[in-house]
Amino acid sequence: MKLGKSLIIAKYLIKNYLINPFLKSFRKKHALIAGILVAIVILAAIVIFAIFAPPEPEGGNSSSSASIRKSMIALGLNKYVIIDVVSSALTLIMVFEVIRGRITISVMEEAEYEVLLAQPLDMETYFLGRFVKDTVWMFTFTAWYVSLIPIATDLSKGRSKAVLLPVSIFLMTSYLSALDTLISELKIIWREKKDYLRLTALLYIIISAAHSLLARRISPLISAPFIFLARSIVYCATISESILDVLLSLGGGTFVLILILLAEMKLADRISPEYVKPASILMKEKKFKKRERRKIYSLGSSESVFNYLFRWEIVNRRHIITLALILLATGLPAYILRRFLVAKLGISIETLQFLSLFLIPLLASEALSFLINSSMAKDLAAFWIYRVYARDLKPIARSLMLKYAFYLSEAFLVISVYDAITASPSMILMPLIILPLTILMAFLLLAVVTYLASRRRIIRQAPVGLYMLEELAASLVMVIVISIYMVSDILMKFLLPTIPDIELAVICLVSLVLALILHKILTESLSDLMFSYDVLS
Amino acid sequence: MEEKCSIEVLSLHKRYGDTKALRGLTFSVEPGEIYGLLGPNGAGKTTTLKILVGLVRPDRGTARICGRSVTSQRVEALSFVGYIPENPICFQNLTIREFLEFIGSLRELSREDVEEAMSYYLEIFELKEKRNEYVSNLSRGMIQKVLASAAFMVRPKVLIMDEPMAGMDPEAQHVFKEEVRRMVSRGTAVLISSHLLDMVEKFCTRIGIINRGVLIAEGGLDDLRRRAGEEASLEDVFLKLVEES
Repeated sequence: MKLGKSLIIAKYLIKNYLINPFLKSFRKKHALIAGILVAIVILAAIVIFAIFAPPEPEGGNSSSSASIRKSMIALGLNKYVIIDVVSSALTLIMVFEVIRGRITISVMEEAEYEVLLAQPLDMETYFLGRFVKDTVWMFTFTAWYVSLIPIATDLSKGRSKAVLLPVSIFLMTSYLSALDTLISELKIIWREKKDYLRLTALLYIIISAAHSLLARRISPLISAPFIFLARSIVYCATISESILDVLLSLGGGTFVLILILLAEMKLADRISPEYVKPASILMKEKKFKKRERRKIYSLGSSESVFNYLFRWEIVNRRHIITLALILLATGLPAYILRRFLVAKLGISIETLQFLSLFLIPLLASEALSFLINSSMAKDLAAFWIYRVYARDLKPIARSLMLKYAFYLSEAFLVISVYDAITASPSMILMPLIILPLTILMAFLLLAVVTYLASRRRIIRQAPVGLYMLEELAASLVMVIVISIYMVSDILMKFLLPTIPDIELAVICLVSLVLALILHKILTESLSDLMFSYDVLS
Repeated sequence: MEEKCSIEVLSLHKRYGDTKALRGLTFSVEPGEIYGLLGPNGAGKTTTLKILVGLVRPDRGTARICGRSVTSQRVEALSFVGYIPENPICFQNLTIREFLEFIGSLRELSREDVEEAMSYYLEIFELKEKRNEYVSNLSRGMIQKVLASAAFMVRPKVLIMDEPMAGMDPEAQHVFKEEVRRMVSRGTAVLISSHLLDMVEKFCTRIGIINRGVLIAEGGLDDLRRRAGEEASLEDVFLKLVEES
């Protein structure tokens, strides 16, 4: 391995993916510098305020922290439960990565494979450069978590350790990314024995679940891999843990991260560049795999567009089976928990209902990252065809809006199935009731990313994925979507069980009509936006 | 004395799922030779070239650059190679200057060498004014010129090129060919895959035709002509041989 070359790779990849996309967006460089300076000043002010804010007396309770604490205690949640739940959820995500997914290392641009890897570099050098680039990328994103410091300070009653929260979140993202790469490497090396690998992962889940049931708490087997990280985050907002406890957890997490990295580097030279695949190629392969005998052609151009953009993606066996499996995977454990285990595990029913709030960010971010990274990049990449052959962009806008609203509704349906089982059966109607909001969200997502992408040739040329600015914009939309869905979920839990059936039916009907009207109006707006952003610009 | 380099391909096999891309392909390119690899779509040309630059691993067989195996001595073998990929693929958000500096530093060229080579190639390809332009703002032909500059800049002993002139204007094609000839005169071995039969006919010193992953004919243009009639063009030869195979 050549460290110097790794740093060169990191430097130019950072320029390509992170710095230059910003420089390109700001025609006047001093405007960019001023913007960055303002952001730094704001972030620094938050940190200084958090450090020098007068500590609250031990017995005192600020209104916000007290109410958060109170509601968490009412739900049976304490710091130990939260640490266990967070660390187990992170472990499960990684185990899921072992079970599913492709045997590849994905990259954003084809040049990273076709140009960079055709240079005389060993894979260890490349992987280290890539890791440094990813770390800087994640640091840029997690820097924004500085804005959470005041909340953590409030919760910890003015402890200065709260300033370590962004560091803990940064460590967690680096850890997840490094572990994800290590898992991909192992899957490539053991590709001939991938079924054994999957079976081992499955056995690990079963044993951990069995141990959890016997011990009547979440098994350390499942929480251990991420326990340091979960602690380092949660301890930033607790009262009794000192800054030393946070530092010790951070140290533990960093130590394991270094071990993961060393393993990653050790295995790197057993990976052929063949397994490094650009996102665009992965999308093509996925499309080839899915190709079944499906009819696109129709005499009406609108119908052809609808067939290609909506029907192909949504109304196919693979998609329906996947959705059914996800619903089953959510509904069945929820039913078992509700029916048999609530009492045995000593969990209150409110806690069980509260868990859906954790599901919302998870599912919404999964659905949105799928839309943004896969479906949207593909849809926008083919935009030139629509521009050349379509008489107008309305049918495209209509189908895209419908498709994105459908995907978002499916994510919400999973949550509503969980809520219907654990809270009230009427919660199953939630996706229908908030359909107008979902249509709005789909519009917002498409409008923002289409606008940004139209400035970057993503629409005009082959798909190369999304860059920093699009990611940031999409993340902002994601925050809005998650917040709206969380508020809706809480409101519905209170309101729906009290509404009589007939009124509920009327509400559903009104929502549906409103959603249709919104879809029609926003389709017009979106097609106008698409035309003016891309064709006229 | 400077080492003269050749390309050796011995009984290469490669399979993608059920598709056999290469079925025992064998050929070699000697120093100072321009070898044109022809074949219909899906014949295995790009796979062969990707194996030679270490991007794809063969299932069986050997590929050597300057006597080094591209699988077991990948880094050493690739240090002799300049490569132009099939499509105009380049880092979208780097400027031309940054991209060439990137390649130069990976090849451990000195700053002066990079500056000198950059100045020379951007001048002959008429890209000097655009050196600070982002790659995403360039046309297909311009990106090809940038990729050619990067491949030439590293002073390769072996040049491997997949449709290198696609999108280039006639003037740039002329400059490109002159530059390749200059390198060949110094002993560089050149492997070029193309569908431009006219260009291959005039430019290459030896031609290999592959179909369904095997070499079906090889030799100088005159040797190949004899198989299709004295007056036959390369196009006639190509069509006849592919049909027969």
